[in-house]
Amino acid sequence: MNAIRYTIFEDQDKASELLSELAHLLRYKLADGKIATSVQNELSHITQYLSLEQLRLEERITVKLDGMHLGEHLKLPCSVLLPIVEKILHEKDAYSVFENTLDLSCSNTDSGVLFSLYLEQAPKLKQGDIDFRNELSSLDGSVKYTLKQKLTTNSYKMELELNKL
Amino acid sequence: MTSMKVIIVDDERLARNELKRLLSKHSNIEIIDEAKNADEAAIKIKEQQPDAIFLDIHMPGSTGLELAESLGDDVNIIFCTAYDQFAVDAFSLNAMDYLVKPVNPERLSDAIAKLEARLEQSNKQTGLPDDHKLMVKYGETMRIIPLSDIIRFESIGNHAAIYTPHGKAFLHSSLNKIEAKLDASHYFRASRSDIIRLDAIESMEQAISYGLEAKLSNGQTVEISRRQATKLKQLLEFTQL
Repeated sequence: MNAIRYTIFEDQDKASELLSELAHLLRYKLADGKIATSVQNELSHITQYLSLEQLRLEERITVKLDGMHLGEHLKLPCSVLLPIVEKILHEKDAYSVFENTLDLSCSNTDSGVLFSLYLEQAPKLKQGDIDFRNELSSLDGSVKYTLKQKLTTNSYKMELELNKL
Repeated sequence: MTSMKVIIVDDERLARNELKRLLSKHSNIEIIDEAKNADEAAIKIKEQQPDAIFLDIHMPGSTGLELAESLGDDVNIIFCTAYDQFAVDAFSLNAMDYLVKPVNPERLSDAIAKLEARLEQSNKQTGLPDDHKLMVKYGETMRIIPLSDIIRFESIGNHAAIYTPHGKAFLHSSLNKIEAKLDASHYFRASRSDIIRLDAIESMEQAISYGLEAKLSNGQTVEISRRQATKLKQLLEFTQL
């Protein structure tokens, strides 16, 4: 919100656009877990969230998105994937490094989608797996899921496979 | 009003711009530089010796708290961060103030007033007295002169030329370092390249550049920048009260 406030004095059109994105995100977050949505809708909110992060981090983050239009027919509780992406950037402390490269992709599988996130940081990445038990618990009963995490000195990879029950 | 040179240290360009915008409303604040991380800031602080820095805490590389610890008491620090949980650590490092983003203009004014008071106090305590003796070399002759004999310091490369009744001599020091040692009630920073003695000013005229031209008792004319001219007018008005 601070970043948007600062933008008001630099570029009012941009600030207005970002404020709309933030309003969408907040409305979505308020519905947290209460209604069902599609993976595709979740992905579009992730895209909005990342554009807000890019506003603050500027040249310190490069975001690459792929397959964000997929997952139209796979339903899951509202606001599950978004908190996962937020948690990764928070736990890996994107603001304390000079460079973040984030690749987000979604691809179709036999009975669902594979959601992958690959984060590279320089000079180094904060080590340790992330505990997603809280976030994933809301998926119980709506989809089958498998989570994998992999770490190197400079990179973190998470793959979340979501399949229909 | 005391003139204060500051450096803004923040990794976010938008946050730096916002602070610049807020500080632009304070005519006694001169933003001499900005830095986007602690390492860059440490170099700039050493080179430019600001009166104060506005320092973010959460930055890539070293944090603002680590930078503050390494600086010790060399510079006044006003922390400026989005987090309030570091306040205790910050004040244990002798922070002058702690502002939480988004910065409230009134809180910023309070912090600036506090900074001004501290600098005025420190000028009173550390400004060299008029009778302080200096050994100065004029050609092959060394002379001991009182500080009050110097009516102008002029920056020339890495040196400063000084003008006294005995003529011109040189000091191996930057104008910023010299200014820090002078009593602000006797000497005034006229521009980036000149410090002049206030009681050596015989007359002043409006300059073409919208600043002022001061004629000194030795016959020299020194240009006072537009920004400093405003400060000088304020200073002299205040002195007359």
